[in-house]
Amino acid sequence: MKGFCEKKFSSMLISGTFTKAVMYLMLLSDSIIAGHFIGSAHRRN
Amino acid sequence: MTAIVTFFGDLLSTGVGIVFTREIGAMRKDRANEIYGQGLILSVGIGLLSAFMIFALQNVYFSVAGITGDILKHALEYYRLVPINAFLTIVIFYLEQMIYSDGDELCNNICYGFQIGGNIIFSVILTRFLGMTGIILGSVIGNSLGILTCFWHYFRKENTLRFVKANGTSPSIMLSMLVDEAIRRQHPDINAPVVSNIPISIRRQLGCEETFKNCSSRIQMSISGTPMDALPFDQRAVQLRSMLKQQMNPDIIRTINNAASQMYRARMEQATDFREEVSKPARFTTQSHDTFYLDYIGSMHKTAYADQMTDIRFLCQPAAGNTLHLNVIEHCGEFRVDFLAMYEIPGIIESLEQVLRDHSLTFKSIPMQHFTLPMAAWREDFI
Repeated sequence: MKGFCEKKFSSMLISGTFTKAVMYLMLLSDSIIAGHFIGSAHRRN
Repeated sequence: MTAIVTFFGDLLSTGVGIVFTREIGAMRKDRANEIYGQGLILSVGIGLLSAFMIFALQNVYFSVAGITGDILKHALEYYRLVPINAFLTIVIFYLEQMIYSDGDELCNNICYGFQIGGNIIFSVILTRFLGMTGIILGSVIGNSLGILTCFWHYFRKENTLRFVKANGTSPSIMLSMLVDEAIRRQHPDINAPVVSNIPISIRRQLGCEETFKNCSSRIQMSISGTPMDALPFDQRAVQLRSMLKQQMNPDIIRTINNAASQMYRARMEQATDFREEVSKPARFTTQSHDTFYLDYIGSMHKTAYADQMTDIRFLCQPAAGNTLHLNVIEHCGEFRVDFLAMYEIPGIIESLEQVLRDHSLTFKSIPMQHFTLPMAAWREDFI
């Protein structure tokens, strides 16, 4: 059986990482989508 | 612009998160809740402030960065909703940090899933119809979904004390009322009030919140056998709670403690060792009949690791004579009630089980145990 440190550690690690990363990941996805949109708009022109 | 949001978001959520966790650790739940509320108001305020800053400064930013032509057109479309998104980001930053402090990472992780997943899916779909505005609208929807997910955390917590809250009272009053019903079923011919001896902490009333010394006191309350018996169960629960609150008036408590006894002052001022502590008169002795003691210890282990503990027990020497002593601990959303007595009590237990069934409350009985306390033996040896 997993002890409480082992059980809690992975979920705290994931949450803790995402706490700091979530905003940048959202911006990154926005940038990729915006790049794709602007790129395809220029190609059409 | 990201820098503004990150700065304000981190400034608030990290700081309040630390202070909140400290107060929870020091078992000052009320103070922690106050900090939580103040933080929420601040996060909304700072969210609005940064939304306004972005709105006011965006043109300056574009001109300084030398953005012109098509790019400026696209950027302006994108920036239409950026202030709203900044506000939502700061609020969700705060909520997520507080939920993290509460130890509910599952809720956090689902939240992040909705934020990032919702953002990508909605951005891709909406860009087709709305162009650049669709991308930021995707972020706004992602963040809103995240905030809604945060509320789920509070509904999950809500179920712990549902019965007590539904009756608008506090746990010690509710348990006293249930035990009172059990006593009355055992003794139908009873013609005197049934008195519960309810523990209270008087640290705050005596103005010494920070002391580690024992500042508990007791309030004796007639649970039944008074004119209030005519009220329905739930109204009586509310009334008894307000009576208990009235008794907690600091002026009353200070007057009693100043006039009747030097005990509490002595406890505050003198450093005592264990020998002094036990040789001192420890409590008022009261002569009363049909009294039961109820020790509501509360939720001592409301931390992220509470669910890892399988059992908490608080045992002490029961009151002498025919007095029933109940130790109540709230743990993982359940109450553990230990009945301590110096006499045989199966009758009263059976009655209480019947009362709990009648109120549709679920419970689990643990077989009766006879025990002696090592502390008592050690204490006698010490003196």
